Amino acid sequence: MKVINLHKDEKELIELAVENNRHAQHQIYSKFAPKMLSVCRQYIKDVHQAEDIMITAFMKVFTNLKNFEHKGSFEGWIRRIMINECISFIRVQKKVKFIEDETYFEERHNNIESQFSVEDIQFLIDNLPDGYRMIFNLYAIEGFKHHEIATMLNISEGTSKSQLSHARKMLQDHIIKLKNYHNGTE
Amino acid sequence: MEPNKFEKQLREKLNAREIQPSAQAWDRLDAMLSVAEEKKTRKPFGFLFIAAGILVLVTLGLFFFNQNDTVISTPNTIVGTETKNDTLQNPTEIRTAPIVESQKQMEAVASSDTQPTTHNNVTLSAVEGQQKRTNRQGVSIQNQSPKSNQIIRDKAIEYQVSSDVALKELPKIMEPKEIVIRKEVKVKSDESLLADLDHKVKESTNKTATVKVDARSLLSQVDGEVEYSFREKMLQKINKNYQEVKVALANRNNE
Repeated sequence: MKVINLHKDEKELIELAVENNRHAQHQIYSKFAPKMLSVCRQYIKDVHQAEDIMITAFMKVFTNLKNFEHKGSFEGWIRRIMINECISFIRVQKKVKFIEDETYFEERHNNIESQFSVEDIQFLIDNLPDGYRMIFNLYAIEGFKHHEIATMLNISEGTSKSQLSHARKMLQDHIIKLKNYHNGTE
Repeated sequence: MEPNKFEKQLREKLNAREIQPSAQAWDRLDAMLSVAEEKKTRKPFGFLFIAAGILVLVTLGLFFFNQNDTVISTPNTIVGTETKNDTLQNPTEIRTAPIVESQKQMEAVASSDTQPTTHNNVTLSAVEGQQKRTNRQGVSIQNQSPKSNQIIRDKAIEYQVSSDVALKELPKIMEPKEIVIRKEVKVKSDESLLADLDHKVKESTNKTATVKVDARSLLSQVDGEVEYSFREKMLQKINKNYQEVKVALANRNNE
């Protein structure tokens, strides 16, 4: 019953927000903003820049809210808008271009069992180049398939795969470094 | 190539993470939304305003074109009055000459019908008298000179006139009558001009009086304007208060 009520509330909220009801818009914003800022932060190092992008993405959410068809989850829809905004920012503002290369690294399946804090994870991701970070986020965190990433970024599937393997290798190197650093301090 | 355990851990931890945006973030979004709303609401009005502006311009243009026509027509009326003055002035010039002529004619009639004997003289003098104006001037001088010469010359002039325009004697007789009529007209025109002036003065005084009657409506208009400005002030105050309350509420919610 509670879930149905909540869903109904969300639908009502959306309908109100479509009619430019500022209170409803604010409710939607305060419900999703923290999570969405976290999503934007995955792609963009600078928190303030991430917040700017989140605001513009929320603007797009509210202006296109009438197009939301209540088919998938509302959060997923917002999240997708956020990700697209981040990608377009990185590609336009930072002029990240993907070089067509199909070189892969051997997968070193040394599954890292040790636990990391969120800050450490963010630190590791932040240290990746913009292009690597973007593809790693899309694949590993968002769970997009390579062909989806290829169409999203207008690159070939092979490039997406090679970029991911590069990113993974770099990440593993960073993890080893981080581990050594932690062990040194302990 | 499947996401390994480490990546699963990343996903779980990152998806669970929440970063609280700054307090200004919503205010900025709010401002952006209100700007977008204004744009949306203004767009149709903007078109209306443009249409209204064009209409106003067109009507103003037409109005000024019409005004220009009237401006052109007023000089015409001025020209008309000038011509009237000319017509009034011309008769006076004509009058003086014919009067002299008529007097001469009267003198001629009175003096003698025996003058035809001096035809040769007349013909001789006619050569001199071809220039009428000079002779007429001479007449005025000769009036003061001894009568005998004067009469002869006058007669000569009369015969000149009569011989030159023998058949035109009748019109010449008519001319004085015309002059009399014109004189009357002149007198009348003076009177009428005065009367017209009086009328105009009266009309102007009447007009000023009618303008003064509108004082009440003017007062009411001013009252309406005062009320309007008062309303605006009140609305602005309400808006300010509303904004303050809004900000306070937003701050409280963020806290």
